[in-house]
Amino acid sequence: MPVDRRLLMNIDWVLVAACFILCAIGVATILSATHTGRGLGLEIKQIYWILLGVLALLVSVTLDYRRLTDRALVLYVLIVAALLYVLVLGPRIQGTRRWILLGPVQFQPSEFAKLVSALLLAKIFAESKRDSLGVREILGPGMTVALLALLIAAEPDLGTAFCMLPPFLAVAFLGGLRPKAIAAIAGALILVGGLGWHFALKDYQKNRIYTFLDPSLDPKGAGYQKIQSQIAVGSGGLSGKGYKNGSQSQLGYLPARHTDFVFSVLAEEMGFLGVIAVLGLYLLVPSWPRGSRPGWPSRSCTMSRWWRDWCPSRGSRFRS
Amino acid sequence: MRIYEDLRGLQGRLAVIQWVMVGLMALLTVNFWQLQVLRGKYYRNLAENNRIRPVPIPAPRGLIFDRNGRVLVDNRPSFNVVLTTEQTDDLDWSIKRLSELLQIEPAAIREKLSQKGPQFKAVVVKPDASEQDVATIEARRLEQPEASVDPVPLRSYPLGEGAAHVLGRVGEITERQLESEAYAGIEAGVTVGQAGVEAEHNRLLMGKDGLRRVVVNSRGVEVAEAERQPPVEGPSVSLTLDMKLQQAMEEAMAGKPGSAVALDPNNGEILAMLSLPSYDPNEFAKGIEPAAWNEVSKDPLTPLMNRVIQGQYSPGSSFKIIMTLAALQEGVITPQTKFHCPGYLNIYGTTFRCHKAEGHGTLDLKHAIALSCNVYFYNVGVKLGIERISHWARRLGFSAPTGVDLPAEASGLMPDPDWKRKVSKEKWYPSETVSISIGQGGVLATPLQMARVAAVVANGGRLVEPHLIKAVAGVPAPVPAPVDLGFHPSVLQGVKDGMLAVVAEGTGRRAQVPGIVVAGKTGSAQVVTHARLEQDKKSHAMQPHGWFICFAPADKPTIAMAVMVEHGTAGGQSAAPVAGQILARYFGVPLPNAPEGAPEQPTPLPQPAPPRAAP
Repeated sequence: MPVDRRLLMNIDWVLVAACFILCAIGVATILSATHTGRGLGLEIKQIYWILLGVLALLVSVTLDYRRLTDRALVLYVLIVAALLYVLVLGPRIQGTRRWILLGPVQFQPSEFAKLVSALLLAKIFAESKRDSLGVREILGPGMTVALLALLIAAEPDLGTAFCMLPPFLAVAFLGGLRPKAIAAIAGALILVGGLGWHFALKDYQKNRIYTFLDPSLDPKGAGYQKIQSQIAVGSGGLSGKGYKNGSQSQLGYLPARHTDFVFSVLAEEMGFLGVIAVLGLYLLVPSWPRGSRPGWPSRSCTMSRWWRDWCPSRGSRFRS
Repeated sequence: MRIYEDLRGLQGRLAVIQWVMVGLMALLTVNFWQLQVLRGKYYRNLAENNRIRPVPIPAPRGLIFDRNGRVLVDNRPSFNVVLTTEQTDDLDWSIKRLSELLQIEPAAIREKLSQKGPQFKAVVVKPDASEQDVATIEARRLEQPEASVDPVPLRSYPLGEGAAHVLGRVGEITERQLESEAYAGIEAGVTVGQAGVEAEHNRLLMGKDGLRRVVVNSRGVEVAEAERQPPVEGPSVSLTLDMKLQQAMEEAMAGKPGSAVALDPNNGEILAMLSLPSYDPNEFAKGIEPAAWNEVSKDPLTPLMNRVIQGQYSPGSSFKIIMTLAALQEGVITPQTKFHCPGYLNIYGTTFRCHKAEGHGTLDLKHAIALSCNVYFYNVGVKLGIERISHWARRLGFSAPTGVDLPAEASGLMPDPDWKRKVSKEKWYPSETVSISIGQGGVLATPLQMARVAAVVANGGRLVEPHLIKAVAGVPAPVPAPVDLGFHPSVLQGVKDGMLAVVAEGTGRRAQVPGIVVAGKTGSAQVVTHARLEQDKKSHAMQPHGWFICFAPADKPTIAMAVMVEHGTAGGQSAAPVAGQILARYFGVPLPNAPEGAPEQPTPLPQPAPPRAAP
C-alpha cells in the first residue's frame, strides 16, 4: 500500500491535539456522570471507541483516499443493501428496526450511511467539471442521498435521516451552488417541511417537537429531561460546581446524563468557562487557519478537507 | 488553470462555511452566557429546590406536672413505621409486604395513603410500633427502602382515664383548626392539643419545631443532611392540680357517671377535676383508629364531654345557698326568720310540695338548710322576687362562663323575665319564681359554677376565677384576683351555719369526715316530674342527679368542692358520701367503713391529722 510520506510530515498537530483533548474531556465527563451507579464503566468503553477511532484515522490517513472515493459507488450499493436488510429482516428493538447484530458487536448501518454519502458526494462533485452548480446538476446527487435518508426514515429514525441533509447542502455549496439554486432549495425545503408537518408526522412526533420548544408542556414526562438539563446547565454558573459535584447530575435528576445529556453534566460541573473551552476546541477543529500549505494535492482539495475536518470529530462522538 | 480558479472559488466558499460555524458557536456561547451567568442564580435556586428538602423535627411538647412536681403528662420515645411512596417502583408489592410484616390489613394502609398530603411526605403506616416491628423494618432497609422507622416523641398520660378531661389529649390538627385563628401558622399534619389543658395552652406547650434540610436524590431518598436546627422543647408547665387528690377523686367516684371538681377557695386554683365516663388519652396520642373514635364520639354517655365545665344541670336544692345569700344580703330574712312547713305550699293557684310529705313543721334558716326544706325556700323566693334572685345568682357566677382556662366552657342559665321575654315572648309567671327558689324551673349550672359558689361562702364572699396554670418553666403564673361580692360577714355566717348543720345533722351527714369540720349542701336535680318518677321508680334514667357542694375545714377552708352523680338519686345518698371520701383522702383521715348513722352515736374518733400545710 503506497503511503504518502508527506502526509505524516504535514500532519495538522493543532487539529490532532484539539481532538484528543476533546476525547479526554469526554471520558472524564462520562466518568463523572456514571461513577455513582448508572452506566458504570462506560468511560472504559468510551476509551475503546476512541482507540478504534484513532485506528480508523490512521488507516484513512495512510490510505490513498482516492482509492476510497473510487469505491464510493460500491460502498453506496452495500449500504443501501444493509439498510434494506435491517428494514426487512432486522430485529425489532423498541419498535424500530435499526440494528445489525453480529454476535457481540451491534451497529446501525445508518451511521455508516452518513460517511458513505459524504464519500459519494465528494466523488460526484469532484468529478463534475463545472464551475458552478444549478438545481439540475445537484438533482442526481440529491436523489442518491434522499434514497438513504428515506430508508433510514422508514426504520423509523427521523433524527438520523434528517442528519443527511446538512452535509449534502454543505458539499453542494462547496461544489459551487449558484445563488438562485440556493434560494430554490431553501424554498423547496420550506415547502417539504410544511407538507411533512401536516401529512407525514405522527402526533407523537409533533408532540415531541412541541415539548422541545416548550418543555413546560409536559414537565414530568417528555419535557422532564430538557427542563432538568436546563437547570443543570444554568445552575453551573460561571465556574461550575466542581468535578463530580453537580447536584443535578450526581443525584440523578438527569436520567440520560451519561448519553444524550452528557454535555449538561459538563456545563453544570465546569460552568460557563468549561463550556467555552469545549466550544472553542470544537471550533478549532474546522476553523483553524490552515489554508494552502505546500504539499497538499490540490486537485482533490474538497475531499481532503472534507475528510480531515469531519472525520475525527465524528470519531469523538461515537457512543455505546 | 481551471483547477486554481476552482480552488479560489472553493476557498471563498469554505470561508463562508467556516464563518457560519463561528457564527453558530457564537450563538451557542451567547446562549450559555445567558443561561449560566445571567440567569445562573435562578437556576441555582431551582437546583437547590430539587436537591434540598426541608424536613421538620417535631419539638417535644412541654411536660405537665402537678402542684407538687409529680408528672401528669410525659413524653415517651416511640417509633412510627412510615412509607415513602416515591421510593418504591411497585407500590402494590410494598403494601403487601408491609401488611404481612406488620400484620395490618392492606386496605388500612391504602386508606392512609389516600389521605396523604404533600408529596414526599412519608405516610405513617403503623404508629407506636413495637420493638419487634422496628427490628423487622430495620432489617429490611436495603430490600425495602421505602419503609422506614421514624422516631417521634409520644405524649403519655400516666393517670390515663383519671384526668383525661382536665389534661386533655393531643391529635393531628383538624381541618377546622387549620382555618381557625388560634392555630394560625401551624401546618397540616402537626400534632396539637385537642382538649383540656393540652388544647387551651397548646401554643405554650408546643415549643418550636426544628428543621432538617436534607439532600435528596431524584427519587426523594435522603442521601445527606445539609443543615439541622434543633427543636426547642415546650416549657414544662406546673398545674394547680394535686395528683393524689385527683386519684382519690377517681377512686371515690368509682366509675359512676358524673363529675367532681375541687378548688382552693382562696385563690381559685383547681385542685382536682374529674368527669366520668372518661376515655384514655394515650389512645389518642398515637393516633386513634377510626373505629375507636366512632365508638367514643358516638357513645350516648358522651365520654368526651368534660361534665365539670360542659355539663349543665339543675342545681336543685344546692341552689338554696344562692337563695340564702341573696335573702340575707337583701334583708328579706334573718337567720332567725321562721316559716311553717306543712309539707306543701299553696300559692298562685298551685300546690308546691316539699320532699317531706308530712312537713318539717316550723323551722328557722339553719334547720331549713340542714333539712333542705322546700317550703321554707318557696317563701323566701316569694319574698325576694325573681329579679333579686337572678341578680344575685348572676353575681355569684351563674349564666356566664367562669373563665377557667379550659376550652368550650358552658355558661349555664339563670332564667328571669328579661330572658323569658327574649326567648319565648311570654311574660314571667310568679309561680316560676317558686320553682326557681329550689333550683328547678330552668336554672342550669355547671359543677364548676357550683364549686365556685361553695368557695364564695368559704373564703368570705369573694368570687374566684378557677384556673389551672400554677407556673410555667418554674415562673409562677399570675393569679387572677378574686372579686369581692360585698356580702356582709353576718350573711356569710348565716349560710355557713346552715351548711355546717347539713353535714352535722342534716341531709349531708354522709359527707362527714372524722376530725374535720365540713360544711356542705346537698341537691337533687329532678330529671322528670315527681309524678313520672313515682310511676317508674326503678328506672335509672328517671332518677334525679345527686349534688353535693362543700368546703372544709369550716374555720379555715382549704378546699371547696362540687360533686355531681348523674341519676344518683338524692345528693345526700349519692354525692355526699363521695365528697366525704374525697375529703378524707385530702385531709389524710382514714374513713370508717360505716358512715351511716355515725353522727348520732359518736364513736371515739381517730386523732385528727396534723394540720396540713396549705399546698
